[in-house]
Order: sequence, then C-alpha cells, then structure tokens
Amino acid sequence: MRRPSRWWTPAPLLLGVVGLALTRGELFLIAGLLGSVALWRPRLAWYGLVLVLTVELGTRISLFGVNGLRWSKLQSLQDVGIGALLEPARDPEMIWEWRPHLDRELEFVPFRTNSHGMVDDELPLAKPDDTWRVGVLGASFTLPQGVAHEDAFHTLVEDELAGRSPRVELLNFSTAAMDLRQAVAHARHKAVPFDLDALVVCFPLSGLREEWRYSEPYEPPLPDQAFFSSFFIRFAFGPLTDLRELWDPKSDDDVGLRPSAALVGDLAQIAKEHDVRVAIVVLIRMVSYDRAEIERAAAQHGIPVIAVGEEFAGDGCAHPSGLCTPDIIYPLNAHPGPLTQAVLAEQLTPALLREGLLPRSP
Amino acid sequence: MGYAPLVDGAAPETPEGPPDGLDRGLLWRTLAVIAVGAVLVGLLHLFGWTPGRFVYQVF
Repeated sequence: MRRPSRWWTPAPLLLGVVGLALTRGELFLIAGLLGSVALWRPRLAWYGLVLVLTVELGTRISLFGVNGLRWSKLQSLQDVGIGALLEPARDPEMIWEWRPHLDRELEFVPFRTNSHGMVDDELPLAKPDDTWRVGVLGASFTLPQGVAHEDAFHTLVEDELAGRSPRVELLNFSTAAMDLRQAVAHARHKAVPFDLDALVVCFPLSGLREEWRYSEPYEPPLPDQAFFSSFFIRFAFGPLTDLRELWDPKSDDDVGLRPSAALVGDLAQIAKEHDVRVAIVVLIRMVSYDRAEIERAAAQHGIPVIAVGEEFAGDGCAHPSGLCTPDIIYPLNAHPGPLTQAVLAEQLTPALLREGLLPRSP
Repeated sequence: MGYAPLVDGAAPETPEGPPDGLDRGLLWRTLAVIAVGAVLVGLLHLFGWTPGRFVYQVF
C-alpha cells in the first residue's frame, strides 16, 4: 500500500551513501535505497530486497562456492596492490613494504610476512654458511598474488634444488603493484643487505606513473570491506564500479620519472657494487614497459633477460598481461594459479642455472 | 455492549485480508522475482563474463 512520503524517507538512502563512502561497500548504498523505498512503497521494497538477495547470493555462490557466504573468506579479498596491508617503506623510493608479522588469509590463501616485511619464512640477515642466496623482486605475478607461499614458483625452484650444496635460498622481496623504480630501491635498501649472491628482477612490473592511487609518502587506506561489496555489480560491470577510479583517476603518464633504461643501469650498478649476479626475468609477458628498451639496456650492462611461461601469453585474454590460462587464482582476478607456478618454476630453474644465477651442481 | 459472535470458528475479516491465510499474490510474485534474479545471474555467466575479465589494472 502506498504511504504518504515523509521528510525522513530519504534518510536510509543518505545513511547508505555514508556507508558506501566509508567502506566502499555497494551493499550499504543498496540497503539504504531499499530502506527509503520501504518507507514509500513497502511491497516494492520487498521485491527489490528479494531480487538483490537472489542476484547477490547467487553470484557469490557461483563465483566462490560456500566461501562466497563466509565473512572471513570474503574479507580476505583485500586490495593486494595498494592496500591496507602495506606500510610506508623505510626508504622513500621503495614507497611501501609489507607490514611485518602478518599471519592471515589474503585472497583465500594463507598469507604471512616475516619480521622484515617479506612474504617469506623468517630469515636471518646474515647468510648462513654454505648457502647461496637469490633475491627475487617483482610485483603481483612474482609475489605471487593469490597463491600460497608454498606453491609460489620461486619456492618451487628452491624445493627443486633442495639437498644441494651449497643450499639454495630464494628470498622473496616482492610487493604487488611494484614498479621498476621501486624494484631498484628495494634491491638497494632491502635485498642487498641479506648478503645475496644473485638477484632476479621479474616483470611484469607496474608501470611508472606519477599519478597513481597512492600518495608519497605512502598512506595506507582503510581495509577493504569486501563482504559488503556487491559481487554482482563487480561481476556485471567490473571496473566501472570501482568508484575509487572515478574519484581518483590514475594516469598512465610517466612524465618526470627516471626512465626505465636508466633504472636498469641503476640495477647493474647495485649488482656491481655488491658483487651480486643479476638477471631480468619476464614472467609470461612484459607489459607497461617497452621490452626492446629494457632488453637493450640489459644487454648494455650485461644483464641476461630470461623469458618463462610465454605459452600463457595471448592477445585479448584475461589479464592485461595477456594471461591466457584457466588456471587463475579466482574468478574476477586473473593472476596465475598454482598449476602455472609449477610450469614457471620448471622453466626458470634451468634458465637460472644456465645464466649462472644458481650454483651448478657439484 | 457485546462482541460479534464467531460463526463456525471463522476469524473476523480485516482490511488486510484473512489473518491466517497466505497472501498467494505476494508469494507468487516473490517466487517470480527470485526466478528473474536467478536467470539474470545465469545469463551473466553465459554471456556477460569471461574468466578474469575484470581485474585491477595493477600487477
């Protein structure tokens, strides 16, 4: 039955807008809208509620199974790239690093950081005797995002070489959304102090941008409240609904930043100063950077470029990297899954041995 | 003053309809809305989505 509208009819909608602004959860806005409609036409609001619940629950279950209904699992869907789990880095050029001692779930898999803010086991700064240390630097593909540390390609390389002398350790210095400038800064300020024998910088890296969604120095955002996000809207409209993009558009310009060729030179300089062997690894495909420019600079400084997993690249495929495999971490997020990690490791180990980044077996 | 006697145990009529009865119109429309929602999700799976099409544009 239609009721006369009252001055407080829009109040639930306004509350919903506040909820959306505070949490970025679209469900607050929808609930507010339904609340206002309920004060106006209760039966219409009932049908709206039923429709919203049906499409939302249906989408969640179809995407994630029973995990789609679980608070803890959905709350593990945090912004991995530029999110609340990062803190301002010790060096301004690194911009951010992982908060230390994290022990939680991230994107449905266990996620732990050590006391150095690395997604790795606890490691002493001083290299143990009879150990060969390889630092691994990269962004989300290298982290690897949405894959347990045990299944990461660099862990699998380490496992493959288990039992050798010297013992091989691959140290993971990656953070998602890292760009080349940050990678060089991480190499200098975070990786090299671990007394590395070799350093591997993996692409894809995030593009060099002046106007990203973060400020420098880094200010961590509030944690994402994924449970209150509408997966139906994300599912249907994707990034159009990422309101952060609308409020704070990012630019693809790299004006004013150190050119990538010069950054490769910086990397070579660090390697030389610290007697570390360095290689560039292209995981699946290099994007955001001019591959020819990177390869020219690498050749100029005697840095080998190793490509692995190229068979997973293709045009018009899931991820902007051109990742073409059904083995993605979960629907709506096309990062390489555990099966792809195994293939990457299988190809990387012999390549690193060939290029002298790993010790040859006795 | 007296009360209206109940005839054969029948509940008194109210403006909203019989109190013990089911609002079948509401029920059927609700089920129809659920069906529309389910079809919407199904169509989205079939035509509106490719695996991982929508991801944050960062690495």
